[in-house]
Amino acid sequence: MSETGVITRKQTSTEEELDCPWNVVVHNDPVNLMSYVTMVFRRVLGFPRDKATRHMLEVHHKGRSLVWSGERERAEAIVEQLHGYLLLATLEQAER
Amino acid sequence: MRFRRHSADSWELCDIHPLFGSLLEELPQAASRHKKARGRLYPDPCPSEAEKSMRRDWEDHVRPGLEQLFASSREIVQRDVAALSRSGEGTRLVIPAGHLDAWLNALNQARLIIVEENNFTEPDLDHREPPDLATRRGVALLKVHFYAHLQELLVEAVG
Repeated sequence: MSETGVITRKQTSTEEELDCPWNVVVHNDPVNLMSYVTMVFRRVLGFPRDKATRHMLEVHHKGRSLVWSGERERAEAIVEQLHGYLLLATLEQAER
Repeated sequence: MRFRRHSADSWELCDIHPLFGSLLEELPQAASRHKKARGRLYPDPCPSEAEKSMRRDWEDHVRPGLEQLFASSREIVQRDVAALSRSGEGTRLVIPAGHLDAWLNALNQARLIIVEENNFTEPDLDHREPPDLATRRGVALLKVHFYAHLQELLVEAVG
């Protein structure tokens, strides 16, 4: 019983990891140009121009935009790329 | 100052005012003063206090790559700027198309650093009056605006 219980908890933990995606959030800063941020979104995230512009405007007006959501490893790679372009980006685990 | 295609694989800045020529020459050095802007150039990847191990991994594995990328961009720009030409036809600079990304990166480093060094705020940067060039702060603001203008031109060029 107890062994089964342990296994069940591990499975639950793994499921939680899978169920809770990681969000990539880009934050506003006064320095990065709007055209530059749009270009970076197109390059790094593969957004078409209108979607990239929409997210850029969301960053500009609301202070942040969730630009990608999914598994942690890929989210980290995206944040690393965004930091390479000197954008303010963070990883946040989505709430259940 | 004009920015135009120079050849199939290069761009040219021409009719550069001497003041802007000196700001171009200053760019690699301005982009290398990382000390005061470290927190902005290498931001925390995760705001959650619970993710201490991620922060440590980031410092160990990601940050060195970013430092290398930023240094490499500055070196490319340094080499290009060394070829700045001053002649009877005016000051001009040829930038290979393959170097545009390095320029964008170095310009951004310099702008972020100058903003941090001078504690410029959003209203300072949005202020449309010409900066007071009799002050160090005014000259710094001019640099931020000039590098931003150049960045706009390059973003347009790379599409």
